[in-house]
Amino acid sequence: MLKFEIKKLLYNKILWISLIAVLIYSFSMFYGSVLKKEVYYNQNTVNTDNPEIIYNNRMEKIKLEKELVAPYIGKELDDDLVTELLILYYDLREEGKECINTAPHTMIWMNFFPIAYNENAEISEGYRIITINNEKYKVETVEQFYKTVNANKPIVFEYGEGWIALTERLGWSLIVGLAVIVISLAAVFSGEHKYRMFGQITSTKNGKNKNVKSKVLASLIITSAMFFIITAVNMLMYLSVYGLSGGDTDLLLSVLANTAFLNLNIAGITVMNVFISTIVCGFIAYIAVAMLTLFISSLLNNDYISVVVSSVLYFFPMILTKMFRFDNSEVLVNTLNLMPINIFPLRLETGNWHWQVSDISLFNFNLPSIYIISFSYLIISIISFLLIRIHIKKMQDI
Amino acid sequence: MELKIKGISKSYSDTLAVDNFNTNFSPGVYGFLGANGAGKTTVIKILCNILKPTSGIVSYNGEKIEKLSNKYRSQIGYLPQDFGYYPHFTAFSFLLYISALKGIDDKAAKVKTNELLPLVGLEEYRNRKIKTFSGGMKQRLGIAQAMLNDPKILILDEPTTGLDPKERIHFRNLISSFSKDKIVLLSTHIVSDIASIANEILIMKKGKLIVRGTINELLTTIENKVWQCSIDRVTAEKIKSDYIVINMTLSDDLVNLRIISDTCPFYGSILENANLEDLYLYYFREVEHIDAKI
Ligand SMILES: Nc1ncnc2c1ncn2[C@@H]1O[C@H](COP(=O)(O)OP(=O)(O)OP(=O)(O)O)[C@@H](O)[C@H]1O
Ligand SMILES: [Mg+2]
Repeated sequence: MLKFEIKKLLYNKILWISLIAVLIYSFSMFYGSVLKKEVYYNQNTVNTDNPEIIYNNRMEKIKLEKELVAPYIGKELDDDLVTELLILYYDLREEGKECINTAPHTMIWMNFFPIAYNENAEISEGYRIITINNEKYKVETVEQFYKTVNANKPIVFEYGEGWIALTERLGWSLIVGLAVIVISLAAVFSGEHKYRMFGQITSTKNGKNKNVKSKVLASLIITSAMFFIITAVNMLMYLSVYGLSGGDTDLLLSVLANTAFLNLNIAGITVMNVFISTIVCGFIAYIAVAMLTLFISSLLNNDYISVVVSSVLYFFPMILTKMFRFDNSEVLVNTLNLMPINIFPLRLETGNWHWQVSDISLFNFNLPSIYIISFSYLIISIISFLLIRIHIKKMQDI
Repeated sequence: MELKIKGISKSYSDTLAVDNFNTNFSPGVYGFLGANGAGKTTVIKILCNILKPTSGIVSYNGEKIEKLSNKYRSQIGYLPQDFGYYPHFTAFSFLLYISALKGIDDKAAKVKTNELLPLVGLEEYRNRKIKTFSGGMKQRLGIAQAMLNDPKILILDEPTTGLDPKERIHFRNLISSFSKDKIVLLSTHIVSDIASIANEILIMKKGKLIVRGTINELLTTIENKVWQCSIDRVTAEKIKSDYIVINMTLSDDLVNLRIISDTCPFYGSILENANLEDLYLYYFREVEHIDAKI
């Protein structure tokens, strides 16, 4: 029976169309951020007759970035490294190549922002003076930085752009992919009315129990397949360009750090940790959305209405959250942030260009960690399953 | 084996679809007659355990069917009045799917499907998608799916709609050979479909079971009441409303009437042998006829 239920789902053209649409979306993001042609000229020669081309497209840019940071990879972050990287940055700017402004580089720039130093000014605690191109600058010490971010182990310099790009884009692809799940599962139960099969099914021996289990299982198999296809395609795209290395880049050295995570304590975690959390929590959220969609499907006997209801339920909170994103203290926003759809970005856009370890509270209680939220989704899934079973058992053919 | 219906009523918001329906079935073929909206389908859905009666009990061998749950459902074969199907499934895979729902294992399901397809004349279409089937072919597929589990209780709601005369004969033979030691309930409007195969007839009207009996028993109730006469048009027009007119044909200036009446309606009328159709119309016209007078 399971294979027939899977077959019924796979026969649905909308499933394939929407899956292809999601993959096209993933690819277009990949194209835009990685493959796109983008000629960059040396800024010092751009107005001459023979401008020097630094790169022709994003791929070449990535290659240049990797070459640029290669000598620093694996080095512990200390005052010397910070100085070296800042000098490198100013040198690049001098040479007209400031475009090769890598993200880890940017984070050094952001965290160790060089302030022009005036001889008379006093040096505040935790700061030091460095000289770049004969100019003096005031820069925070690494020791002070560690203190502020609560890091208890030395941060090692890495190039984790591939994993960061992958995590960011995958999150969005997965959100769009939820639409596939909603559209294709909304008809699992309600569609039987359309085909006038409800009475026929429920009059059979297995129609009220086993069939429900098979439908749910088939839906979960399709949901998992969707999740893994989307994840695999994204991994293949980004990692084939960026390479596999860089997973252990500390989050504090990543652009991801300038956003507040959904109670994921970012001190001491790597971009790989964030990627894995996205996968694990995202998968659980997929399961939860699938189960809730199935539950809605079992309540309604029109598959179109059930698509609409499910879509509104999932996508509306996201739109609302985005609308209110600048004020995280709102109870409403925090509640909405608990909705499955908001799990994928794993974080809230704070609009604050300084990294933050988030501490979001709801009714004065700190929100539980992302893992506890995910766990509660699992519970919700199980409850949905039980409700579906009870409901189908009670349901009559009218 | 006994299927017992005790005091079943079913009301929808504004209609009482079934009104205190009582009867019981032992193995045999039962014809279930009734006009549109009489409540046949409602009774059938209740019997198939997919609709809860407002009141009353259906029991199988002494146990309530809701309690027996899938033990009961595994004993029934059901063809709904509007048979549902997945348009993109082939006849063969559709039957395998229903088999799976009925808890028949893969191997047995294939054997049974291969056995049933020729019986309903669909062997050569087994791998065609159902959406390409004609109405009658779909109906035959519906009959086949109801029989997959060798049901002890076969309930077919208007099984012969859409079947051509040859297929009707096929169907009757199929039911006759299948019905041994089984309860077969056929609802229909077409009296001739059940005349030769039904052991008993049940007639339902406005939610009530108004009569039940063997064909002969029921026919005796209108014995010596069916008349044939030929009269002129004007007279025919006049008496039409006073009698139960079963048939009316024209020949030259005369009208030939088939009338049900306790007494000779007209000088020169000839007594005819009663058939099931007369019976059906007798029950359905009679009450209305009386209603009209009141
Ligand atoms: N879901 C429903 N909601 C409201 N009324 C209903 C519903 N289903 C049936 N009815 C009413 O119940 C009565 C009996 O309907 P039912 O379908 O049982 O008749 P039937 O004898 O099968 O008629 P037919 O020969 O046309 O199939 C009708 O008056 C019908 O309008
Ligand atoms: Mg009916």
